Amino acid sequence: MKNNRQTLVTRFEEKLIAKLENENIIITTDNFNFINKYYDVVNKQNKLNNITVYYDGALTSIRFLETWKHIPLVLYVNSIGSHRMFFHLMPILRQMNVRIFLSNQTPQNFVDLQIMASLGICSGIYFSTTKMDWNKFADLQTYAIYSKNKHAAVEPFNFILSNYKRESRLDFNTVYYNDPQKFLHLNAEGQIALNADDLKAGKFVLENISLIDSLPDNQDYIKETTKWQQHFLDKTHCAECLAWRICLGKFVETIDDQKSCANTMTELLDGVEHHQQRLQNQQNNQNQQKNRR
Amino acid sequence: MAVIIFKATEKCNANCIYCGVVKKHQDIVMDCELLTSIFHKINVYLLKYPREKVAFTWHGGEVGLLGADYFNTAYDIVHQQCPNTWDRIEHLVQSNMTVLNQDIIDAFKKLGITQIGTSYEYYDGIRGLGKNRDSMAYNRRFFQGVNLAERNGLTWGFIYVVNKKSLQDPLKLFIYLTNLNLRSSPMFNKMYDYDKQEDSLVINQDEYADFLGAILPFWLKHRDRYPSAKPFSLFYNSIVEKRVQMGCEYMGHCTSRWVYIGPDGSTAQCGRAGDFGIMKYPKIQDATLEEIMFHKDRDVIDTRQITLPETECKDCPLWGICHGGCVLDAYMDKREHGHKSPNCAWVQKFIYKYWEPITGIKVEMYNKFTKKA
Amino acid sequence: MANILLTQKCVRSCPYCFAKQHMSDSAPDDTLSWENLLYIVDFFDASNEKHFSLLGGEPFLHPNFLDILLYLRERKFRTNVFTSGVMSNKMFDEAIRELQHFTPMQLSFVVNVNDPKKTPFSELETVRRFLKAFGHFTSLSFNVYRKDADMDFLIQYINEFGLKRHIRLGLAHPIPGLKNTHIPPSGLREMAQNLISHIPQLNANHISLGFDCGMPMCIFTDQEMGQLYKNAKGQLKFTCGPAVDVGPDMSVWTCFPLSNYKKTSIYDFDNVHEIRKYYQQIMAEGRKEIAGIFEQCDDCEHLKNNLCSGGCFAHIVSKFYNEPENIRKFKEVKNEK
Ligand code: SF4
Ligand code: SF4
Repeated sequence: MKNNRQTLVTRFEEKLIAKLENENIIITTDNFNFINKYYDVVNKQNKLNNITVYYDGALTSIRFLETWKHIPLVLYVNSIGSHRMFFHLMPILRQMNVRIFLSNQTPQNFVDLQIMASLGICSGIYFSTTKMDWNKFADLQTYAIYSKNKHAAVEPFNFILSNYKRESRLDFNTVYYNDPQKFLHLNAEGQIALNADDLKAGKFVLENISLIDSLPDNQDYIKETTKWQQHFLDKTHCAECLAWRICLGKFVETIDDQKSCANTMTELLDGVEHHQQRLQNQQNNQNQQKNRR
Repeated sequence: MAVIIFKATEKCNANCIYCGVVKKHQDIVMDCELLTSIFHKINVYLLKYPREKVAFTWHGGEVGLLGADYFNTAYDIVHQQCPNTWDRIEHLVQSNMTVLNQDIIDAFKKLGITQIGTSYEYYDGIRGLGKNRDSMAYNRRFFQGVNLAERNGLTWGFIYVVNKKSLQDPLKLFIYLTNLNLRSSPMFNKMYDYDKQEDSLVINQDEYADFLGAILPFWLKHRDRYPSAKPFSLFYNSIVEKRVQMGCEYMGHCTSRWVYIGPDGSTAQCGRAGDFGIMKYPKIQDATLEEIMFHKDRDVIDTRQITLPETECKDCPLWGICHGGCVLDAYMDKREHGHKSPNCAWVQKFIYKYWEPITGIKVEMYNKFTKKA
Repeated sequence: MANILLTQKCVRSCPYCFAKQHMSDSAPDDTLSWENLLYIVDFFDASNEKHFSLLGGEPFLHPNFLDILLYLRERKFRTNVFTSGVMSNKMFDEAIRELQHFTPMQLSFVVNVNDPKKTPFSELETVRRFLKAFGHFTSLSFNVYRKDADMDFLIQYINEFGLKRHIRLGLAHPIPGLKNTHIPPSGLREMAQNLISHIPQLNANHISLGFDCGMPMCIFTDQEMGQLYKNAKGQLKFTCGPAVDVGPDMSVWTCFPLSNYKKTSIYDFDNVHEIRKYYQQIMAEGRKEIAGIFEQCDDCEHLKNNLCSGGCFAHIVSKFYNEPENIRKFKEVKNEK
């Protein structure tokens, strides 16, 4: 596969896929009927990264098929549905290669993400509403970062935890494929947009994938990848926020008088740094012991 | 390492309120002939001192106004004049970033420059372009420069000049500025009053100490996050880790290390001395680099290091980190070299009012600092 | 084994109830939330203790009770549930449906039965229905609060419903500062004799006895001890140590009768061993003042040899509970770790 190249995100279009070669591909869909076909076709001359299904329903209303077992699936669902059915689904989910995203719409979803993670199912929160329950978010974050027990990854916390570097900004939109340095979005004709919103709006930066080498000099691309600077020109709350380095203003629409987002995200930052410090100390101890031997 | 603060031009496209250079209004650009002779002299110097290195800092004015050709020419000259010593010349650059273009960046890279030093201001009307000091236009172009540099793999670090407006909310300012560049936190410098005017933005010694004091507890708590924020990190290294690493103003051994060379070949002790027009040495046209570096007028700096601990700084526990401060400041204040710097006031206040009570770490007298020639 | 309280609600009102103190201090709608359950499960998991008991009130009254059992099974916890067996028809039907795939290794019930002669008919019916359905998961527990307690009905239940052939025998203990029905130390010998009189019948039915905490050793003669030993296949204990109970609000105490004594919070500890150690120290301090429930405990060899703890600590606390400066101490809910 093409190294260091963006992963291509597209709906399934057989003709388009046939034109691509050696690309890393994510297929997005809202339909479970053709999962196996997508897998087979894409993997012919490309590499399927995953199939992401945006499903307007509960997890427990999905009928999982045995034939999906080997297919990497990412599911965006409204909720898990009834706990009872979810626990009955667990033996099947355990066999799947699946990551499940729940929306921030209901407080229960935050708890259910913990339940899933504690049972070894990779999961994540996605943000479908600006009405955020920051307390629940903080609880989930505490769980994702501080829980001493083995649990599956919860996004975006896991992403932040594993990629945070003190000396660089971290954009957790990567988790949702909205980072043009890592993902590009293609329409059926192969035109390229920088993120899902641009794709929807028909705003394309390149006509096709053969032009990809010109992307770094593309003005729209430069604008997109440096748009964070507007916060500094405008001196927004975000530019003065302690959590800037891991948030980059993602919750700007939720900012309230209590600065809930800043407080919660700052706690997250502290937690992440603490976690890394702990790992560092462990490493140092191990090295010391090795040296003594 | 010898540090050359090299100003091929003192022209600038910006009009920053606290800039000493702008006030000199020198628009000339050093010609090729003089540039050639300077590198010739550097070569002679380096050949004589085979273990020595030179940090050649391109300074201005705004170096970007020299254009890419100038740097490309400089590159050719360096390699002609210093065929066996060029690899002991490290090129550094200070720029306001607002006029950089790809050609200039390419030329920088050719010279081996990997990092750009710059400045940034939060408050409007302090750094800016044109008569009206347009800060928004300045900042926009600043970011364009930053983006260009970063796309080319260059890093950048910056200085923030603490002024009256900065006192409004030091911590907020600190967070904003450290957010701006996560790779390298700023150096917070005190604003100087070049003209001794009743300028409303200049802060006094107390105010600067209070500014730093307001940030110190936060910095201490998050030291690992902001390891390079100066002067906090400098104090920490000096006091806690006993690594004397303060800036040149506090090292007391700038004697034969630094030289300023202006567009007309004039020389002085350092960049600031050049701006102030004090501590001047012969023009580079009239002397070898060695003669300027070891000029007898520089002896006052060494002498001061011997006399101060017996006089104005006697028994001061802070001597080991401060060394009486910068000789230029002392001279500007009293018109004599032998005194301690007026910055003594902020250093003392910062340490005794903030550092010691907050950290619980007492600054011990340590006079054993060994002065290097 | 530690106990997790799912809810304060209960369907019965037993005369000896030692949860009384705790329940009277808590809001009736105080039920364990998912968040708190997850924390508790992680806490025990991290303590390497993958089993605990679920208690109430009546655990079946928790709105997510069956989901909690399913979750604990997924977490590979062994769960023991203390229940009265009394529940609504709807709950019973759901329980039948959901618990059919559990194995007795994953789930067990301890049903606390009262003497049928003193139990209302409707309650008796539902208990029998439960025992019939879940007999293979179930052992009986009986709290002795009268010197002349009748135990024949226990044997009948075990035979009729195929229950585990073991009876967990608890002593009703006093609750410091509250009135409940329990046997005072002076009546324990008589209770012991009554108990021993049931041994032949228990043996004949292959049913063993096990003592819950706080049973003093010396209320039995050596000969009686021999009988008990044979019946219990040597599994006899006469100890009183911290059980560790966790409430829906994450408060922690040593055991129900002492639920207001040095209550702390689970958040004050890193693992369950720390909690036990904390309460062990407190109990050790208390027993320095009064060694056991009888005067002769002070010089008892068995106590010194750790064969007997000297009866229930709640008796000891009760003795000096009413001294004014102590009342304040008992009410303390702060962490003195
Ligand atoms: S946490 Fe809130 S204030 Fe901070 S950067 Fe994010 S959106 Fe902005
Ligand atoms: S603090 Fe003042 S007295 Fe002390 S060494 Fe510095 S200049 Fe001298």
